[in-house]
Amino acid sequence: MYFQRQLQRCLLRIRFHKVNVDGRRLIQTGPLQSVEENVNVYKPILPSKKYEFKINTDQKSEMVSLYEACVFTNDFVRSAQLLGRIAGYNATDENMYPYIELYLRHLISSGDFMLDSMIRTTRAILKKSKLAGNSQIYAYYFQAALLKESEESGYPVLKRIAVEWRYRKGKVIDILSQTSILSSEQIQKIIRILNIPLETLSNSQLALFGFQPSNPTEINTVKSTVEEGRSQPVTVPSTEHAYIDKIKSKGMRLSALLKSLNNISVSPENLPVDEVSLEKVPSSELVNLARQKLLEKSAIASAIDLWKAEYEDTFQRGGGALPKNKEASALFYEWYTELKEMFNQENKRLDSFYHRIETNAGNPYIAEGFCGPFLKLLKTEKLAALTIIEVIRSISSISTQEEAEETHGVLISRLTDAVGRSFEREFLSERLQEEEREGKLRIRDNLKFVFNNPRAFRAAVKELRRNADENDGKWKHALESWPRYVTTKIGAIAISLFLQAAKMDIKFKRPDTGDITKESVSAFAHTYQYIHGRKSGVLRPRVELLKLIASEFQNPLIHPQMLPMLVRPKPWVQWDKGGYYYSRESIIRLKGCTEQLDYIKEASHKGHLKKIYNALSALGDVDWRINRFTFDVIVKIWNSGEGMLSIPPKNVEVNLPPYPKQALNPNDRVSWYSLRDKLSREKATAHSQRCDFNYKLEIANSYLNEKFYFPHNMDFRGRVYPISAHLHHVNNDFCRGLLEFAEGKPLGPNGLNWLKVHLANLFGISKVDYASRQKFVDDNIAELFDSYDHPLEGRKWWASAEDPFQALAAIAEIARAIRSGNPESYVCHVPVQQDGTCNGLQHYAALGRDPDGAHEVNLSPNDRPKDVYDAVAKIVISRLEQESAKGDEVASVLKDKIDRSVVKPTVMTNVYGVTYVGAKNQIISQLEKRGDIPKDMLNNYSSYLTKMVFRALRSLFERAHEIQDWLSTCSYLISNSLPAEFVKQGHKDKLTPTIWTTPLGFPIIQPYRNFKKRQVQTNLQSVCIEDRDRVASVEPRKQAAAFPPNFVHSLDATHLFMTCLKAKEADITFASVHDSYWTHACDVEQLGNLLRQAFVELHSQKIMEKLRNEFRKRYKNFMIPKEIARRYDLFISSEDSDKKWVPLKIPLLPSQGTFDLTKVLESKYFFS
Amino acid sequence: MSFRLLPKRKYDDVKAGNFINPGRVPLAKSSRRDKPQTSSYLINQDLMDKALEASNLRQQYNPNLTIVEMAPGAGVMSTSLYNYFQPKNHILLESRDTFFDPLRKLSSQTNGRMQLIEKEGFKWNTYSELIESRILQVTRQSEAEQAVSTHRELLFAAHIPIQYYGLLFTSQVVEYLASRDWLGYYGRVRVLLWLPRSPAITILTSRGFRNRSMTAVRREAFIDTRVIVGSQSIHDGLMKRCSSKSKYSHDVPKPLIQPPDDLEFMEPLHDGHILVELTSKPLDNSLSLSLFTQVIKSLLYTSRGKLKDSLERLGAGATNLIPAIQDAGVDVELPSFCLSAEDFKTITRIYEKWPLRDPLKNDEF
Repeated sequence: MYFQRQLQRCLLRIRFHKVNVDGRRLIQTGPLQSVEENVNVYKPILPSKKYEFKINTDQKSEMVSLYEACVFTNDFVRSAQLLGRIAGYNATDENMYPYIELYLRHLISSGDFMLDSMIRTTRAILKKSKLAGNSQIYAYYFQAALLKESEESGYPVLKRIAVEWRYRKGKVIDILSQTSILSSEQIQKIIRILNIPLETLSNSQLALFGFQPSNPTEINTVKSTVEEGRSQPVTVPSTEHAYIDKIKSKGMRLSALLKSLNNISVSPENLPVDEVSLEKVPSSELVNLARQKLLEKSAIASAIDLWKAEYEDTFQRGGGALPKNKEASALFYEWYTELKEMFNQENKRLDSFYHRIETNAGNPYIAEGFCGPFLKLLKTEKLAALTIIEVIRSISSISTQEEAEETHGVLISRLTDAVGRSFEREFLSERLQEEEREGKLRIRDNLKFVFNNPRAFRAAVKELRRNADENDGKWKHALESWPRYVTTKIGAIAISLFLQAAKMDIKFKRPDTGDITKESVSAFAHTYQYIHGRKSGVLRPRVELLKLIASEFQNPLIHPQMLPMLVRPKPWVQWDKGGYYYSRESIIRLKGCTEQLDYIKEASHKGHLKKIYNALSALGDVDWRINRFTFDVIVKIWNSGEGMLSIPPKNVEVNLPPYPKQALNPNDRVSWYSLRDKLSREKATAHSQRCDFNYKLEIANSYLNEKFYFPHNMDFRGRVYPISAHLHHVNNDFCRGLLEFAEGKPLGPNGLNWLKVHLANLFGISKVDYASRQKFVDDNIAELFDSYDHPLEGRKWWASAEDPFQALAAIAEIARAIRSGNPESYVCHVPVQQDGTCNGLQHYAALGRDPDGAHEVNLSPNDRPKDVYDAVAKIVISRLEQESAKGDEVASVLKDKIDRSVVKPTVMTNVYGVTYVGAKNQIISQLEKRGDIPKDMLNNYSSYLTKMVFRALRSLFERAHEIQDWLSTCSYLISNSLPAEFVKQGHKDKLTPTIWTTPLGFPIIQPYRNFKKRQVQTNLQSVCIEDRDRVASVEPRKQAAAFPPNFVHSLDATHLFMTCLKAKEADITFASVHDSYWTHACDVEQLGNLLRQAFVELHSQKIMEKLRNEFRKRYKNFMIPKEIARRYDLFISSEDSDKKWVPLKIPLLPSQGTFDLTKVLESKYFFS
Repeated sequence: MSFRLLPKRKYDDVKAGNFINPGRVPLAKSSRRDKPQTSSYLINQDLMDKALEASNLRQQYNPNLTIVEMAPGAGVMSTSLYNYFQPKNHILLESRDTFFDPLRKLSSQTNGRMQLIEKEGFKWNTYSELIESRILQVTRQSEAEQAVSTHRELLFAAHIPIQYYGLLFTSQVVEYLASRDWLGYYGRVRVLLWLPRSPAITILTSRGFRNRSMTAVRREAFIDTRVIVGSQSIHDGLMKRCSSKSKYSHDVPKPLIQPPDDLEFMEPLHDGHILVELTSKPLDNSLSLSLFTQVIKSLLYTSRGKLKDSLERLGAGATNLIPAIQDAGVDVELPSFCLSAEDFKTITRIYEKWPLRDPLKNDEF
């Protein structure tokens, strides 16, 4: 049996692999490491006019989903009609096969069919789709023939089919090999009927067909149980936790978090050590791994689903066992019974409608006709319960009356989709249950767990769809299945019924008589509101309902985010394998556009990403702990409830003046409204900031005395981020101050000095030489000790730092080291940071080998660090003086008002693609801070100044700008280009994104596309939905504008990876925040050498030439419109001069300067 | 101060050719999107004189009258108003420098009764500045006075620009007169507006018109309206929007004067303009203005459906009010655009007394 299953899987994999590759809109998964290999071109399937009928493996279209629904409801007449139409639009597409098979499978299992008409229908469909039929289809013919024909008749149809198959040069053995369709009895019967000699079959075939008692090698489940782990359990570190003042927040986010965090302090005998003993971790880590498992499981368990299960029980049991809040449950039960009845009536109505459709092949687009089959997939009881649950869930975030008055209702567009999705989920879980019951599907965990756990559920659904060898698996393997169109429509039907059912009794005092009376009113109103200036349909609940449920629904509404890990993260070995142990994370964070994932899978498959995996794993291996000193200080501030530094105060007072009635100046109203908005926004911000702080503090509190780790992944450009949310080192100063390396190292001879440099940097004194920075700390040593001894009661010197909490941590470490009497042997945990001087510009200077630029950003050795901002400011000032001498008024006003701080933000963001408008706003805010410039002149002055700063930057970094221009030109040309064959076919949409490969082999695709919106008419209102999965055209402007910064980010990420690998080799602790590299104080010098070596190594690779070659290969035979080629002065040959489209030529690279890269190795302040 | 009539403005002096970009009104908002709007101004003084005579407004004012005129253009309407009312004070708010010379010339002949203020009338701040600098000094009517008569010392007149900004200005004027903001602060102030097509059609619609808007309902409820000079093309445009099934099309006010179709009395755009007179009605303290606004806003969101269906938009459970509304004589089978302002008032009163009324949403006043 085992062998048989293996073979089936193998066969299926082959088939699905094919489907996967052919069906995708991306075919180019070409060479990713060496650009010398051939590059396949990117070939998107263009949007079809008849999209609805098109099979698309990424996203199921509406008709296809409708078809499936019809099949599942055994509506074979309609499904055959639909299949015929789908076939018509997907001629010669082999993806049709699974759909035809689905139809046949269900038809045969229903048993209600005529053999001849079945074969006739199938043939007609095959003919329409211009396909010959494959072995699976014939296997179904055989199966049907065996069912409908008898021994006496001699199986004429079966024989005829076999002849036909042989006539088409097929082997009957192929049909028989479809053991997923045919049982072994059926196969043996067919072999007997067709008289196939057994000698012609190989042993394995015989075994497969069940002729011999199969005797496969005993599969020894080798259990590498790690017994030692159990024999010496490591005790869970005993923790005493600090008291942290909790704030009231809506929903119960915090309590959910606390619940998961409780798992950290479970006693060892309650831990699932057995369950984790198969993982490959050192035995000493087993206890922690078991705790990690508990943590991950609870972190991902969705409380909503738990709640749902609980309530569903209640709904089904009726009034029997009511939960705590009897009133609410009774009300819901009332609604439930009524809604169920309404769904029943709706179903009856749909049945009569079908009758009409079947008789005259009605228009499938009529709403009922379209959505009916989906609604019929579930029982009405479930539909009713799910609708109520989903609506209540969506409003339970509005928990208080105050909020109900402030917030808008729930957006209908969101709600309809949510309800539709919940129907889909329910349908899928029903299928899962069924499969599980019949033993067709093996799920690792028990079903209850799967249903309560969204991740496990998704995985199981994937498995269900993938498991094509079992009965009902031949679905699409897309993650999402019902299109948004469908979910929106059925959601709207459900909600409109719900609105009629949801009524509640409200008691009130009659104003005229004073009696208390009761009135039944609808609990919800479907109304419209202006939200962000647009008229949007919303569902508004009654305040009484909110009050009623507020006491009951204290369930966490947001899944607790991923927390730091208690064991070393699983090393990355594949694009989705690594990081957390029990939950899958992708190595890359993508928003919406998922095409990059295909490239990464391919690269990963080919083994091109090993270095990146290693570096990411190394970053995750760094062990962290909470800095107890800063933690205590922060908790003290927090519990006092007062605002200090970045910690917001507990209470924010709102003093809103009364509304101006009968105002002489109507503008008073406007200012009143804006004041009100501002105040409520401020209050909300303070509240959410305080929630955020509380969250982070609670995490820190739970991890006190623990060693923990941050698994990392990347954004689409390769920049690294920790996966854990909230508390991690790539966060604000407060988080960074709370964290330190768990492993301490003695300071050694130079460590203390580096700590001092680090502290001076945190105070913003980073543009003087190292000695002066150390001197700064020595000069303030009395203040330093005061800050350490009395952080809150003393003179608070630390609070004046740019990054106060990190400074506090450094201060404590220095004070302790000095007081220890022997600083060299003092064990230090605080990371020392080294930052690049305007890292983007450093990369540009190296790319262009620009000697002047390199000098300005410290690539070449200097006695003291150069300050780019200062240099730019000086140029701007000298130009202003020149202009002012010529009599320019603006220049003469501005020349005394410019300093480093005014230009700093613009210079910093210039390499990251800041636009003119963005830069102008930065300068406005900087000038505003000075306070000596009249407000009405700010706009004029800043636009004048912005141009100046841009010009100054250009003159200082000429080559950098040439490279920037080259990059954006290339990207613009590429996004306007199309493959030659597309041009021949007359396509005009811009479909080509910019794709490049980093020096470490990481493929990057710019995701900027225009996603189309469409309006769906539902019986509630019309809803606008965005189709993310259709083939959308790219945005050339955005592609071009974003390419230079993205490219530089990909380079700085590569530099980080290379440094990280070197540090790992040298056994140095290494952590990083993009261009800030962290290590122990004693290792700073060594890391400094390594990062310089990595930089030289990276830029010795002729990066620009490689990029150009890659573009030339990748976009070979691409064409662009002639006017664009003209605009960019591309060469146009004489034969192309009268054509509209000309071949795409990648422009020549700008020339390089004479800078000697190896000088970086000697530069003291390259990173400082 | 003796009074001397101004000489009649000659057609040749005031036609658009004499001015640079005559119709461009720079607008109050300074964002880049707000381009100067086109605003026409009157060139035919005979028409205005005739209209004022027909309106018989002179008796409504005492000798202390102050006229505030916005965007007078070449000063034809100003001359006519000045001669007809003989006001104590006539303030011209004009920001287009091309008209400064003719207006200065005009004011120089009035012994200081007429003064040109070179400010933008579209800015609400301009009016508070006028008041602060004591250029505009008017007594405020008490509520008792308002119940008896309109304001006898203040008149506002304006040429309204075309399209969106004209519409915006007009609907704000209607709203502020009703809620006694802006000049309405002083009491029941009368305004005379030369309206181009789009604001005219918007505010004149009554029940049964498919484009019935909040502004139109407000006007009907709180403002007495007269059309002094009508225009056939605007009337035709208005009637196009009248639902053929509706029997209420007669509520459109009839013009006092209908100039011949071929008379071009506005420059630089000749397209039909009408002169309307808007006067606020006495305050009705039994009606909550904010609730009234909420009711018309909610019910006109989906104005085509039957009232009994769209009542739900008012708040959850508002459909329970149907019997009470029916008893009060409102037909719930009608769509909301066929309701009269009185109907809306009735619904508001019933809704206000409903104990289960949703608390007012914050964004509505």
